[in-house]
Amino acid sequence: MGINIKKVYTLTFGLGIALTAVAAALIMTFSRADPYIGLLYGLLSWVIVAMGGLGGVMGVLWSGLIIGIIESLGMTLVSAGARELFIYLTFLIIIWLRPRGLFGRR
Amino acid sequence: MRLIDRNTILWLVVVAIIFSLVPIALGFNAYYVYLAAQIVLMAIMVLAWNIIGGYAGQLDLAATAYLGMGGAVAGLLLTFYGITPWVGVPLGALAAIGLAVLVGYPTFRFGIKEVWYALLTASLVVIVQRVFWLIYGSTEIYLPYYEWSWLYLRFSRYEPLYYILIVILLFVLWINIVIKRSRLGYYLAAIREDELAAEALGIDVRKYKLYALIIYAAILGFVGGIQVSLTSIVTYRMFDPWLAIVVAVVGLIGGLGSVPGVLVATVVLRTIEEYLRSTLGAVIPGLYLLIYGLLIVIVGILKPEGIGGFIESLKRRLHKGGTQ
Repeated sequence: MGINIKKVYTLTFGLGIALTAVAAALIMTFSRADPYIGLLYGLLSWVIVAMGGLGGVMGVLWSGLIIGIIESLGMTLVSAGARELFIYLTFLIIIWLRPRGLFGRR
Repeated sequence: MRLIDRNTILWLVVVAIIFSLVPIALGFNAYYVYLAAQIVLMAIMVLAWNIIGGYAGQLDLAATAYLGMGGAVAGLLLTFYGITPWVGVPLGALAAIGLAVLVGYPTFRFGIKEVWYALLTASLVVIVQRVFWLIYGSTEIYLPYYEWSWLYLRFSRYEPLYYILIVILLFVLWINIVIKRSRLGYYLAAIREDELAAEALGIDVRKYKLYALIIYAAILGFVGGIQVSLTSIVTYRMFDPWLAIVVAVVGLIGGLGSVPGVLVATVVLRTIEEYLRSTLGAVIPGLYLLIYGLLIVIVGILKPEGIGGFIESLKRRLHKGGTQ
């Protein structure tokens, strides 16, 4: 159809990386930075996108909100060390119930 | 299906001899033998991953969940109840199988695949790790000390555990070869290539994926118990999400479903990693990770089908040279 696949892939990849870098720069205003920080956010961001359903904006927004609220509630009500437990347990259960994510097409 | 043939025996004997000679070549230096044991351990993990990731084509990132499960059961039984690892290690493998069924059954029942499967298994590692952390805390639990005890698998040297690991490695290699040729192996290959088509042909996709997962978890649970004896500690760090991803990456670099490719990839990559760490680690910290990462990217770009594909093409070329 005349779409330059290479160019589109490169452009979207670059755009994604640029936006991540901007977000990371904003995180630095209130959080620490170390070489291993990628491990903390890598899986988490991936989980949020997959939970919302790939290819949708609303889904990511909602799943980000859900994860954030559950994380904060779990940290204050149960134990701060159990923070990740709540995030990933929520993800596990939601994916079992909706295998393509919250707003993903079947 | 034949369980064993001359070619397989020859192959296993060659691997056994090469690995058995390693401690002698290293001059029985305790540190180097420990590193060699770590490399064999990694090879076992990647070969176990090969069954679910290479044969069945499921990108599983939960290797350390099962490994840690087996290690935790065997290690805690020894430390708190004085139960010998000869009982504790099989119990650890059983616990890992239990975890695999508990998570794998609903996962395959609800048809979770691809990215979602990878992420779900990656989260499983974190979940198990946090549960362990909540129960036992962040302090390391040390295994009791014995000078030289075969009963409790505690030694003041690393060689006995190294040879135990080699026996397990040979067994896992044999399992890999047998499964590849068996009915299960062909079913798994069909599932990997096209799950819908496999289901249409009447293969019970769910059942066979669960079988592959159980075999994978059992091997990892078993070897987890030995790992605990090797490192002497039980800690929540055994459930390492990063290591689970490394296992999958090395398996992919080795070539999906290629047993020699996977074995070569693990041994070469782990050795290079440790060598770079020991030589460059003190000069510029972190440089070894940079070189190691670049190496993986280069292999991925040059040989997308992995080292297994490279070995195959080499074999074909050698055969051609022989017949001409």
